[in-house]
Amino acid sequence: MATELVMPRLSDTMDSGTIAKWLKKVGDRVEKGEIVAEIETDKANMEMESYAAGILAKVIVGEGQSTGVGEPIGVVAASEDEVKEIQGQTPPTLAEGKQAAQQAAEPAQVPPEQAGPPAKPQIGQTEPNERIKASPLARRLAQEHGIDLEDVAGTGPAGRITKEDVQSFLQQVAPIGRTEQPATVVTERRPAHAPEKPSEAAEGLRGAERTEMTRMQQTIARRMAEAKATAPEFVLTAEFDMTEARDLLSSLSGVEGAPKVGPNDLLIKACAGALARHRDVNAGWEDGIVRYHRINIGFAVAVEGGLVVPVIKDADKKTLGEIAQETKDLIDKARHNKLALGDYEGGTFTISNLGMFGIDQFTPIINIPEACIMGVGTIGPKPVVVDGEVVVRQRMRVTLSCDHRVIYGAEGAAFLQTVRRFLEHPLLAVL
Amino acid sequence: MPEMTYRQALHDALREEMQRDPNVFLLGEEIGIFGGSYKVTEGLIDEFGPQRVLETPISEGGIIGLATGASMTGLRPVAEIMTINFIVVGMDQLVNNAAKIPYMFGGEAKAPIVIRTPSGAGHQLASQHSQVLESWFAYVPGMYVIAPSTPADAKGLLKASIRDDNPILFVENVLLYNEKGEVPEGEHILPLGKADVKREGEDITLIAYSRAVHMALAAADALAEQGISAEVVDLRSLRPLDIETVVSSVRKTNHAIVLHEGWKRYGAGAEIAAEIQEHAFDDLDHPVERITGAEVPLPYATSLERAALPRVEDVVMRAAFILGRDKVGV
Repeated sequence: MATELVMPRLSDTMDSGTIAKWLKKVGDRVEKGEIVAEIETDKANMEMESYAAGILAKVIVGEGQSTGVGEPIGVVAASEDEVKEIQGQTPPTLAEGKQAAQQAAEPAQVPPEQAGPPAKPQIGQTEPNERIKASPLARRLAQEHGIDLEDVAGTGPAGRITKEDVQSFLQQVAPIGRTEQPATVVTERRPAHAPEKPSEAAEGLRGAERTEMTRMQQTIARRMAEAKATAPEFVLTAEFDMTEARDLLSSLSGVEGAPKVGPNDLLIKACAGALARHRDVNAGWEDGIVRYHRINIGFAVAVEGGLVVPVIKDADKKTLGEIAQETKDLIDKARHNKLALGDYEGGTFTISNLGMFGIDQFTPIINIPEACIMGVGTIGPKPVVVDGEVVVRQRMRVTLSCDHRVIYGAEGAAFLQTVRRFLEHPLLAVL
Repeated sequence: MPEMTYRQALHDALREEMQRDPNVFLLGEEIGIFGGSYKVTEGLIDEFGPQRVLETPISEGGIIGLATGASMTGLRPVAEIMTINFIVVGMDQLVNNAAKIPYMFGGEAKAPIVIRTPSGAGHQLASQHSQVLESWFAYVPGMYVIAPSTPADAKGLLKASIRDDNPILFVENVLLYNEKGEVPEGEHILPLGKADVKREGEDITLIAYSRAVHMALAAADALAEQGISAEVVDLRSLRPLDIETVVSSVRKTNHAIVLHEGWKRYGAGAEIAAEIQEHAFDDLDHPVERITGAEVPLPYATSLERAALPRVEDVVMRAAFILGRDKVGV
């Protein structure tokens, strides 16, 4: 029996993928578990294994082409005869393809009695062409936000989708990054909050040229806009004395066998320690307040054409040396586009450091669904008053953007106080 | 501002205009010594004499025909038709003559008449005396149909109507004559064909005119208790129709109910609903609904009469339903 290969969901924010490369040609033998294609997701290039053995009978989505998660990309036939049969077939209709995709993506949602004999296609059980009932206003809003109305549940009279339904859908979209179920609400195929297209005349005047956005850029654009649209943020800024931290770190340099530790590593260590003492800050907004038991700290790494946020898992349980080594490895992987899914998923807190560019301070955008992100500025000498004397100290400014639905001012401030204690007395952080 | 009844406001408007312009005269059945069936013209015959307060036989065709002819010669007649139910026999004069004259004479002749008449159901006046027929006239190009809901609007709009050169049906309401309200002192004139937002709101627009405005306001009060903020738009004029005010309200609230007495089919609500969807289709979150009287000649029995008239509770229930607030747990 032939098996349809469908676009797998390879990350929790992925809603569609691009075939970077087919490693098998039509007619090639394919073993179960063998890698058949490379898929470019919104975050990384991943390999796709075949879950069937047989012959690649058909390629539905070619190299460089994209399709939604759960949509068919190719067909593996069991025998040569079947290959001919499949190749002789007319291409499946959109409705059939969609149906197959739905079955593949939502296996749990097919009631057992309907699942019945697997060979029988279930065409006709649903009516994919049935018109969606939505108010004119809801349709307009959906279009403006790039939402597919098929994904929105209608609560109006006769199940009509109303303005309120679209608005509450928009609010749900934000925390979706973390939901476990496949093929849930985020299936928008265009980036949300698509800006209005400027007129051709205006584009001409600017000498504008549209660039093809990479999946990473699309993801960043979507998530940042979602964060700004949904998370009511407040911002806390504090200046820390980094003189002792600097001294501690430089005392290690040149020592034989010592790991190379930078201020960023110490910062991760300090934040992890502080999060362990302020569990309410190690939290997120996923349709409500969620507290995270693990402390996984992400840090933003600039890469060509965007940024990625690899995550140090259980940072509170790791030594400064381990953190330093892991950070170095992850940055290395990020720069070479080699990050695996597990390297950047599951963060609970994010740090973004622009100190190396001489930035004094900045306000980062929350990495939803996480509740907090810390923006770190440059470390530099400044005159400060210590014991009534003006002295020169190494100072650093950090800014904490917080989702006020999850965190309140006093909690954020108390957390920063602990971070300060750790950084200003760095031995405390590593003890 | 002094408070006065709707009746008094109309009376003052007539009196002030008669004092101002000697060409203004009144005519109608029992409007002199009896003071009018609803006492709007009471005392005016004493002040202005029988030449300017002309008692007529029961002859609606004659009243409107006389008024139309007089208006063409430069006078400014204000005719009273006892109730709108009786206007039907004068309809030919109004529709075929008054409304056509400015067009058919190339603008050289005008017919500046005002026909005052009460519309609507009273208390048990039965099917022949409880009708709402103004939309028939609003259908006719050349006619103006003005229908105030408050004493202040009644005064400002009647004075403006008397000064206007178009043939105007000025619709009063049987149950509004005793309605009290503040009326600005001194010369108070309102523009014709301009709707008025009687109450501002965010969630739903209730569109009404004449007495139904008061039902809409009562419904808005009840809805406020449920946390629904209703905006009440008083049309004040069916023709010209100020659709801009209506549409800009609906653009804000995305929901609309048109509320009026009389029948639903081919009624004013049909026209307004059509205009809203033409101009604000993409702003609608629900079809425009109409709440009107039942499609029957109005019954005489009190219980049946009540059941056949639109009610404030209907408006409250429909608005809550439209906004999805009648669901359990919301």
